[in-house]
Amino acid sequence: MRLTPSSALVRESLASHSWIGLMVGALMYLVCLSGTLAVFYPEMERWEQPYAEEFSTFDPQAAEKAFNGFLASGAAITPHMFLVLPTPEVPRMRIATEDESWFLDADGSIAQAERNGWTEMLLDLHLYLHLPSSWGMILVSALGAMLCALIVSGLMAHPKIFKDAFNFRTRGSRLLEQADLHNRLSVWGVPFHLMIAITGAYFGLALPILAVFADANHDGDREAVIASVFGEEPDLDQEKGPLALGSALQQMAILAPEAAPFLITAHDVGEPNQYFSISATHPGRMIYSENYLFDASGNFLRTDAFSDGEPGRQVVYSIYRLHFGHFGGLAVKVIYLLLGLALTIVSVTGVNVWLARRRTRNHLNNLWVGIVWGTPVALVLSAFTQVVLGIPSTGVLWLTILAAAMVSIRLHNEKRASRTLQAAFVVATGLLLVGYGVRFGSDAMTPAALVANASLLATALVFGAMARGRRDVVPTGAAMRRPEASASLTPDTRP
Amino acid sequence: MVYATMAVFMSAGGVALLYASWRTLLRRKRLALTAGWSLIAVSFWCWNRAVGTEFGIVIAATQLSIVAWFFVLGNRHIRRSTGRTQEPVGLNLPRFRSILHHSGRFLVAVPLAACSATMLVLATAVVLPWNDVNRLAFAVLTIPAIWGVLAYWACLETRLLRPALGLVLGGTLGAVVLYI
Repeated sequence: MRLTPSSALVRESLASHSWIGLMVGALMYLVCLSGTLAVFYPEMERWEQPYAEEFSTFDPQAAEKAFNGFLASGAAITPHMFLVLPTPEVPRMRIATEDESWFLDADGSIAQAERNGWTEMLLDLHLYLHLPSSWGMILVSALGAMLCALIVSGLMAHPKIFKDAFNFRTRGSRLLEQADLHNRLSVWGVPFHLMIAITGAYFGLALPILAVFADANHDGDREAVIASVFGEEPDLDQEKGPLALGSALQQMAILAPEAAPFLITAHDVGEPNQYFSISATHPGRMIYSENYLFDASGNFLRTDAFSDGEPGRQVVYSIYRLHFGHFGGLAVKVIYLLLGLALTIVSVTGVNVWLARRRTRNHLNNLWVGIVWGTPVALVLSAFTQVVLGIPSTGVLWLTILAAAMVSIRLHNEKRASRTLQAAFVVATGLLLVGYGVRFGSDAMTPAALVANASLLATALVFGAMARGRRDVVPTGAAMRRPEASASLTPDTRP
Repeated sequence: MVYATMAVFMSAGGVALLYASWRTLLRRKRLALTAGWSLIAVSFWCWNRAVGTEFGIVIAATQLSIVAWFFVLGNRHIRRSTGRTQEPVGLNLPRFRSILHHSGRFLVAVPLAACSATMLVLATAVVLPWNDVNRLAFAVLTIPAIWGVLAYWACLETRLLRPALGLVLGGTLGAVVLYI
């Protein structure tokens, strides 16, 4: 039996792969780059506010007093209230409503409000592409499905997948170099890419799918379907009063000695049916948490059975950590960083291959360079304006990308435009690091801030090295005939 | 730690044998290929022992990619520049007919394929002898993959009519099973 696809199928698969890739290329690049960075969003939040007090242990009674004191203070209470507990990853404690959040000191006193506008901007870019959340999330989820289509078409378009599995030819021809980079990163990264595509699509598709399912099977009762997946709320009727968080936290040592509590959520605060849940991670488990439910007096009610319930419930509740790489510590995050960067490069080189295959070049080439190299500049510049100057970052991000595209079109030379934007990244990073030092003073020397700033500096050094890279120019053919073409005679523009 | 170290060495050894087999560096290609995949399978087992099944499978699969890229990097061939250039031209706007064709393909490959995949998978899910939560979990994880495959098919065909009709038919069939 012949297992290799026919040449016609290969040709048509390649055309299909190109069409889908071009349709989603730019958006895929933005989602992949922001997603790669978003793996480290807890660290970024620490970097944005290095002055918040950090501690790994806390007094449960002090936490209970602080939380109940906050509820009784007349502050803007929302139906769900949160107490975020310190963890090794983020050793900070916070009280949060559904809209705002404040840090707590180790003694339980309320400190400054949480302000992590840049990290939120980055997450919004990844989750919604800064569109209204419902539509943006569906669009990003559709990108997940299109990534599945690209994986299938890419594999079908590659008949010599094993023979070429280790080929990597550089410098010779732009087309060959980009195609090899694209194919090698994508073929070996297939398991990760497929996992990211499917888990990424989940976030935006879950609700529409649930709505269709509820319409078809439960007469449109979505609440009933949601309850079947995430568990029902307990039916309680109690006297109004403070929540016995301390007692519940102490019971956790008996209920689940191996579990690590990281969040307390108070439900229906101030109502007769109020209760609270303690979310805890379980070692070796991918589930986001197991939730331990208590009534207001601290009596244990039950769990949500995310750790030992129906397989479907366990799978759905494992998707978040699997998608963001938030399991297994720093090593897994570094693996996700490398694989995420590879997927970002795959989305860029895919478009590069299409551009290099053309006999001609035009402003599409310039525009693409502007988007690709302008986005990192925009991210750093928006971090500077948000973190150092306090200016909201979303507008700065998009205006900088627009400016980078215009600079690239103005230069009309892909290599020069790349180098200019790489140099701009170095300058913007320098500005950010100096501004950060001035803004936060001695707080900028906390370990979390130092690691983040060292990573930024290392990235800037890489960009600097790229900006100073090869400058070989081989004047041939069209360039000899047309003066305007000589500007584009760089290795970047050779097919 | 011992199992994790073993796992890294096993996967590196496995990829090395695949490399040797596919680059025909060894006389006994088939044996090297079998041994290579076997070592990779053992590395999955080692990761499983080191960090548990759930983390182990993910780490083993992702770490294998990184190991393989080291071999790709080591096999890098630096070639002489071909010196070919692309002729600069102005921006040509596509013809109306072309815009129409691509818009049609987009509608078939994205929204129509999405609807069709949703109906087909949910119809399959409701006939499975499972409870709601398992059916939904099956659906949310399968729909993106099926949508992707259908989008690939929609772009594979030169004529749009066939995939469009096929998707409408499939979606309708799914809806009938789901709602009636």
